[in-house]
Amino acid sequence: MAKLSFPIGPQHPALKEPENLRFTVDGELVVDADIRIGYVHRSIERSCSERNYVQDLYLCERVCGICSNAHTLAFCQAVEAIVGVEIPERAQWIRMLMHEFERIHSHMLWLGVAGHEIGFETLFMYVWRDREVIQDILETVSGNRGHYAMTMLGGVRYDITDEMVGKIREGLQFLRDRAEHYADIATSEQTFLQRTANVGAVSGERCVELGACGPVLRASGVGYDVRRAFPYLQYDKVEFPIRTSELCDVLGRTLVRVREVIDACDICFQCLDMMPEGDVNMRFPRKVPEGEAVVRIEAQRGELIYYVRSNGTDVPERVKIRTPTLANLPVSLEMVKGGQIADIPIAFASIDPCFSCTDRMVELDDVNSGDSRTMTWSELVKLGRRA
Amino acid sequence: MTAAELIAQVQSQYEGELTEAEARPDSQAWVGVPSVDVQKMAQFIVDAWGPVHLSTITGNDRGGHVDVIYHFVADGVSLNLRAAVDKAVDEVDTITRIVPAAIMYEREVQDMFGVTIAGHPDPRRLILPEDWPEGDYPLRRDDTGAEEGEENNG
Repeated sequence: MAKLSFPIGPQHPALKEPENLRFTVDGELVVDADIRIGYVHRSIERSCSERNYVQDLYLCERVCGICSNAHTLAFCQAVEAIVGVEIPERAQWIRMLMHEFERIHSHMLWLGVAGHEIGFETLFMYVWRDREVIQDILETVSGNRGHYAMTMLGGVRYDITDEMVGKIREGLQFLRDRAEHYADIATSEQTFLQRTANVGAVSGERCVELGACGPVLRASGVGYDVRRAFPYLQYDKVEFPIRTSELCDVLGRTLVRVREVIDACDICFQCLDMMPEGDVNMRFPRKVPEGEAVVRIEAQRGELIYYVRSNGTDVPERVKIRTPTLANLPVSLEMVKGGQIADIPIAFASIDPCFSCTDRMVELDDVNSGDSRTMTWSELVKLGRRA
Repeated sequence: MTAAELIAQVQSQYEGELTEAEARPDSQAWVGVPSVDVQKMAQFIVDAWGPVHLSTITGNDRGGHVDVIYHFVADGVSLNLRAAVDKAVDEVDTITRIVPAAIMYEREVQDMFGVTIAGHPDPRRLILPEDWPEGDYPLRRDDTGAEEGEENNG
């Protein structure tokens, strides 16, 4: 049978990095995949070097809507490293709490989306209902459900009061129990197993070679977690396992993320127990002395790296951001190669690139005869659910 | 391994010119090589510490030259390799064949800074659109943005 080549995109269903994907298929089998990015390049890096540090904080928060806190955290850690200040200890613990809250909300969001991509709408509904609990906690602490604006240069904006702690503990216990339940479902529900086991498989060696990070890397059996490899904030004081899986497929990535929700709850409990009293922020200079810093943090999608270079003024010379999705793109192409067309949505979703289900034009183009027919993304998703 | 030990190993075993070799207090190792030696150094790093993790490649326009910084994780140490690429040369060899993870990051540097990545297996544009003018590199400091008469919504 003749090989077909078809594009998905340029409006790829990824919120922060829309892409143009081109697949070559032989019947139902994907034989090659290629990617083209940059369709919503917002020039944030250049803009950062034309604004002062406080303005950059707001800009970095808006790199991504799901991991907004991770971006401000990395930016602040980098600038604080150049200035050479240590922020108050209580502020560090609160930053950790926010970091883990965000991980819980993001992983639950992902689990719901994964359920949706494989047509398991019940899972999607239940997970997103439960996710409201962590959204409420985030709102209680920061005042916002998204773009929390919690991290600021020199600490955090708000303190966590005793009244909040009770509500946080109650909510986290509920989420922890639910995550255990979802871990059970992921390993026992046939509907789920049949669509995720042995789908989008990629070996650990290949992941390392191609620079993958986060849950994708850990689900292929490589235990690299920035929180352990380069401890920041107070991560060297809390106990948590590094979740890995030898399955190397979508099921493995699901299990790693669900178990990380459980661990994140446990980390939060430890934070609440160990958090000392004290200030939550400090005065921070407007001008930053000349220097440079590289900061890695474990955002929910994987390793997030910031490089900041200052030149002694109140405007940074260079801010370089590398988001985890870019690191996981080369390996995501490997995931779909050799798989079925119907598995493309869930295989791509498994790297957590913020799938949305807007209609996408997909042109199935016969390179030999020149015939082409057009599918929308929703038709492709429907095809994915029928399989 | 600590950053200081890593730097010591580089200094004792690497045969070639080092423009920089420093273990910083924040446990970051910084190594610099002339831009023509990037491949040689990348090979040395892979030979010494196995399949290393490449986090990203940063470009930074420093006026007369472009700093190209490779952020590795080698044996648990954050290793940053800096090569100053002179704007008169504007070219650096690819390390994609040695470190496959560099494939996207090298294309990004080529797009945004106009530093040609010599020998790159897939040198297409990554971020800039196909109709972007040749020779216009958005992250170069001499790039002034939109031309007169063009709409600038910035």
